[in-house]
Amino acid sequence: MKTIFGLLTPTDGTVILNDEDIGGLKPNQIVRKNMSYVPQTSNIFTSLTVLENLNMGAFIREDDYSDRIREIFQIFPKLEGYKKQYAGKLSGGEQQMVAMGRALMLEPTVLLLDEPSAGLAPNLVDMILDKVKGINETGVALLIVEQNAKDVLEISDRGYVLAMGRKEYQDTGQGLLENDEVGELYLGG
Amino acid sequence: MNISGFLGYFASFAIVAGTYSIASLGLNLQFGYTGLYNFGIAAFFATGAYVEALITGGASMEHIGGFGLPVIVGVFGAMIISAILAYLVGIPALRLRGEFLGISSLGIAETVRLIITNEKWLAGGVWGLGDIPRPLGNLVAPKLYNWIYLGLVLVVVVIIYYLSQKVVSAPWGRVLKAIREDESVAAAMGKNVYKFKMQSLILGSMIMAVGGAFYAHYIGYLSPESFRPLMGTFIIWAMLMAGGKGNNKGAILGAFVVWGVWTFTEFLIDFFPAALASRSGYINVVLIAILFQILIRIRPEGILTEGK
Amino acid sequence: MNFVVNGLILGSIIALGAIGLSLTTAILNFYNFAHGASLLLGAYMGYTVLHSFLPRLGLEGSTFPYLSFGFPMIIAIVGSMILTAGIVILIDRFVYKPLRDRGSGPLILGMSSLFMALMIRNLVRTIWGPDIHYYSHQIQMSRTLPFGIKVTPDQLFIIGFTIILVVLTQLFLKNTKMGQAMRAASDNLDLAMVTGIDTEKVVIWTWGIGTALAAVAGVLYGINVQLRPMMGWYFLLPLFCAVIIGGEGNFYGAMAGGLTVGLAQEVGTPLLQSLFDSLNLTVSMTGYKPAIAFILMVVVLLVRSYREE
Repeated sequence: MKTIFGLLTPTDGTVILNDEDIGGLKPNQIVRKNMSYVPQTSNIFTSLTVLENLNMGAFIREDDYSDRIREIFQIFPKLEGYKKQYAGKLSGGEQQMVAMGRALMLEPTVLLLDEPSAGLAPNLVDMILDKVKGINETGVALLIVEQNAKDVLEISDRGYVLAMGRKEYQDTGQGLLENDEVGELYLGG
Repeated sequence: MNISGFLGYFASFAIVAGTYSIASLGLNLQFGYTGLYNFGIAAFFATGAYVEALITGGASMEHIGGFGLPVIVGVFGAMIISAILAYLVGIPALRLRGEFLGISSLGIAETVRLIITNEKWLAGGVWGLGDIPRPLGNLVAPKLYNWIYLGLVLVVVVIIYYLSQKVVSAPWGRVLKAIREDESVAAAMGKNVYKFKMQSLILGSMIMAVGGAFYAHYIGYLSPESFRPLMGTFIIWAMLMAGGKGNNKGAILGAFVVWGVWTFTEFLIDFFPAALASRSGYINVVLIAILFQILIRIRPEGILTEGK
Repeated sequence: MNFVVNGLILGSIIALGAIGLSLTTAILNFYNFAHGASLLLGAYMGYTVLHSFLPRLGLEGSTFPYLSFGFPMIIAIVGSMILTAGIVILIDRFVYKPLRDRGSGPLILGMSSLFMALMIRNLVRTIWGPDIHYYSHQIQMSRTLPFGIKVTPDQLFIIGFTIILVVLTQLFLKNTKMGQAMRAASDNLDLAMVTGIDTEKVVIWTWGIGTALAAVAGVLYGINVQLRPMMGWYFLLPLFCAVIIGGEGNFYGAMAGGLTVGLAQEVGTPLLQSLFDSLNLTVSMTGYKPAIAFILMVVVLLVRSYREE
């Protein structure tokens, strides 16, 4: 995922977004092409408030984005109460919401999520995946890397299984879930 | 300048370069092989110089010491005191993250300098410490003495070089390199990282003390100013970086090259207009600083690379 | 009690310098040994503006009531901030940035800044000479305030001016886009890039503001004491102590650290002195003032590392 977003340089192959080859571009250039990225760890500014985190998400916007902030708070109602709290003081699930909210400030067409459910309790995982579905329904394409594959495949249109850096399986989400081989090797039966 | 003048100048140059190269070898052990950021070289270099002076020098009302003992005793004394200092520094500093060792050792070196400056009874303070004897001084006429001393210094350099090489190619040395590359891996292999670092720190400091001791004999007169951070620590860092860290030959080469540049730029100053003459010393340093920046840009790894 | 006031004055100066150092350390991940030189340059730039430049405009000699300087000094301070910040930004652009872009580690950058400090110090000696300078030769009488505190009006100005600058900086960091971006970058530089923040611009602003504050610190020291080429290096160790105690990248920490170090030096020295005196040891502690800041830092670091275990 880091390679796609330009944090690492690709050694082979191409990265194409909306028919444009973006391989080798730097993160702050990719962001301008309407793709946002939520890293797995260290994905919020802990010493900034929730609102300031969102402001940073909108850094390159020149316009008045207060409407967008309102929309983000509609997707994540809990965060509105924490507007002025330092993000580092929130719980794991809440921090993850801040991270996603930050990434959505630029109204991306593609959102990259790196292990969004890592380290979260099962009920929070459900909540996060719910939000993910909601975001998708607003027209944002999501590319998710996830170990917690089962839950995510249930809401996925397509899935890819990579082993040793190679694409081993590709199918619809439902298709992979029903695939016995995949189930045995990767989903724990 | 006539030939004998030039040769005389060369001898002086080589002696000082030689003593600095000893200190550089010490730093190479601590940083080049073990990865320790020792910004307090001056503390050990100065300790070596002052202890040597106090042990071998003449008695004086101004300060303690002045036992007039042979040079061998002085050198051993310098190494022991320096080792003790290194141990005391290492106890807190080695337990902290890498860069903190740097700042801590810098602070220690400055503190040592403050102690020497403030406590006149110890080592003469700003009035300096003189009356340091010349080893083997009676062998030849005074005019040729520098060559004898140069020979002595070079012998010491070679001895320390060979000892360093042996120690570094031994299993002990390999552990040091492992620690430098990745401490956690070395620790996982069961090595007591702290102990090895401490050993490297102490051994390196003893070597630096030897360098200081021979520096003292040549200069003949010590003052805390000689060991200010630039002259006592950072010039040696420049020497090791220029010559090639992790390479003992590089440590020696770097010392000669950097000291050469240092003294050469002093020659250039002679061509300056008279108006700037009084500021020539400062312009000299500015030139060296600029040269250093250029060096880091074009060849940061130094002249020789690691491996031999 | 007077020691406390002196500690606050010294602490204010250190705090102003520490803020800039803290920010650049966190964002650029290297220890800038040339930050003391920013104080040095600030002081001498102020001197040149005050005594060489302004007189040509016919503005010299006026003083505010009670203070040893007048409006020209204010102009000199502003001029110094702009000039010093400009110089340091250029230094970053032509010296540090090429090394950063090449992937040089903190050690190389640190050594580069070290030799830069050396160069600046000796350029100052070359241009202005190695002697001590003063902004004004007026000798100020100290007034006696309640609690037996003796301060000069200049010193009150120093404290007041520092407070104003700190408040302004705080407002900037909290309320402006660039200020928040600076805080974000010192919090998590990678994430700042991912968010689309123009980190190059943030770096320039950080150098600018940090250096401007340091320049003021230098001028204030010059007003309070004197100008001399070694003053940059003199402050370097206390500045690092303040940054490390307060936490890298932490604005409030840098301030608190600066005040702590200043107080430690001014209050700690006489305390230790009376301790030694009572033990009948003839040690004069005044020569060890800088060492006190350093000892404090080591103690704080050790306590912290043990607490983390």
